[in-house]
Amino acid sequence: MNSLYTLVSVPLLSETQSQSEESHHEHNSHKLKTTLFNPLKHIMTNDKNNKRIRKLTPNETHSHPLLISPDSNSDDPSIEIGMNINDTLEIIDLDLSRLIISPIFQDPFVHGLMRKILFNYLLISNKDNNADDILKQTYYYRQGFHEILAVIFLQFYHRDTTITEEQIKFILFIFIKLMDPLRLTFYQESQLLTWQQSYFIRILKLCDLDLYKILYGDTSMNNHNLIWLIRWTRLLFLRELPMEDCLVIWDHILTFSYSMDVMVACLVISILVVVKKDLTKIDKDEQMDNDDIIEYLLQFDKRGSKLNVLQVCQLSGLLCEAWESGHWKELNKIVLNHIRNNNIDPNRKRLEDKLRKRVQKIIE
Amino acid sequence: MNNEDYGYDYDYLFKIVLIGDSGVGKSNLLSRFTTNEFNIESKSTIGVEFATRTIEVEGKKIKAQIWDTAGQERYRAITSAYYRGAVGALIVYDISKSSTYENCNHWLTELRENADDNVAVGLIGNKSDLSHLRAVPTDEAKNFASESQLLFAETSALNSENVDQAFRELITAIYQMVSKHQVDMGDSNGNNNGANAPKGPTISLTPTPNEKKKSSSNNCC
Repeated sequence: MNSLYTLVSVPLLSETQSQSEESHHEHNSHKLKTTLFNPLKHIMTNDKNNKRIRKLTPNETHSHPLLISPDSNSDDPSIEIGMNINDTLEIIDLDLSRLIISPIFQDPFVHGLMRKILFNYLLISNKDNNADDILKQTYYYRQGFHEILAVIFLQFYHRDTTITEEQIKFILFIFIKLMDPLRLTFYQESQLLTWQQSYFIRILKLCDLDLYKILYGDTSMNNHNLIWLIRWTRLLFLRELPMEDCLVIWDHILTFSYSMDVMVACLVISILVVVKKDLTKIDKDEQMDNDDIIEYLLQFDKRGSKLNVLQVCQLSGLLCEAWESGHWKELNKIVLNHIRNNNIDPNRKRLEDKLRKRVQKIIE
Repeated sequence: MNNEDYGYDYDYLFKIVLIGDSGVGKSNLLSRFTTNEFNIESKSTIGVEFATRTIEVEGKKIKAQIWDTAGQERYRAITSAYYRGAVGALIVYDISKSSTYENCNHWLTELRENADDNVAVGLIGNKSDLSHLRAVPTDEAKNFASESQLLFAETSALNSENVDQAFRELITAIYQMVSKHQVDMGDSNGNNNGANAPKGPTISLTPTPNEKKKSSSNNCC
């Protein structure tokens, strides 16, 4: 535990709390004492006596010159866009106020802890940043970090006991362990594109050519699948599956037996294999098209499909094994085997389940 | 609202995108219009969300396919996929947060760069229920909308004010543009001088369901 990071407090930037921020929090039913300095508000306050209509394009700049280097091409997806400390803390507060996976996140104390952990994570991941002054650094916070952290936080939080500094450090430690590879691959657009090409499409094609054709049959629409893949991958299935299922999946990911790139690709493919019938049905329906596939996958949680998460993990484990050991021809066999085993007669399956339960009872 | 849900039975499919800064209420506008729901505690959008609603405009059934994107993100490589085929867009700001209004210019530029030239655009000042905290004067936004040839409305997803009207107005504008375009196209076979014909590429409307994969039949009633 001693090797864990020393936590840095979130700096107090200003005692000013803008009306706009108040209104924002009001709208999110969360009254938090934010201490952000809003340059826009500052300009407007100074301009209070001026009754003329404020121009849309103000004289002052409102984009941050440090956001992207002036020489860089902002269209280059390999450039990670950063924010200054004001904007970073503002978006963190906004995101934390919209964390609804548990009511505990509405507690200002918990909000403060989460804010501190996220800020420390950003500081640690900024280790290559030359600016020593934390007020002058560029931060690379992305929406989604907060939800991943919330799930880890929940595992350590108990309403009746106070959360200790050491526990907070440990939460940060786990968060870093999970986020570092996740952020590198899925939160940077260029990396996400590379992951899709190098892992997801290649493994999918080898696993199940039909699924590949359904999703990537039209090669001009390759990036369309990123529309749903962004959320699936960045939040590690938090919005698609029940949290208890996600925890099982995260457990598998955290063992890091396989690289995050391959593991996540195989997990997504395993889930697609499970719902292959639905996807095929949409694909064959002449009244539906690629957008309907995207809609299905974006609204996966609403389908109410009960996945056997252990089977998904098992299948993805086998796929990872075959991929990483170079047994690519095995991938299709593994998928076919899985489909065959899960397409058995429901009566037989019921009988097998009954027997399994009976044996389990005897063992216990 | 339910009696307007025609499922697959529609004449036109319009793709509409919602853009604007994080926290302005895009997702709640979407849920208010498509399911008449408002979540006071809505999650941050990660990536893209998607919902549809079919309404009737001038006797035609129009399925609006509405895409909602995360405000923080600029998906530079994926942007083209997001905007592809969009025939309408709503740029949303929060009337109580001036920075979200200032940024509308950036959103408009991004939209113009990536979407079809004929895309119909509306400027939406959301959270009008927070009028006591207003930071963006209605007149200024209205002027900006008028100068930029955008439709304009102030809405409240919270109390449902103007949401339906704003979407309907946009959908109607798209429909009228499409019908006019079809008329112009028809006329251009004759002696149309094309003075009022839409400039730039043809609005790319997703075909009606029966035209999607097989253009042999017509779904229009």
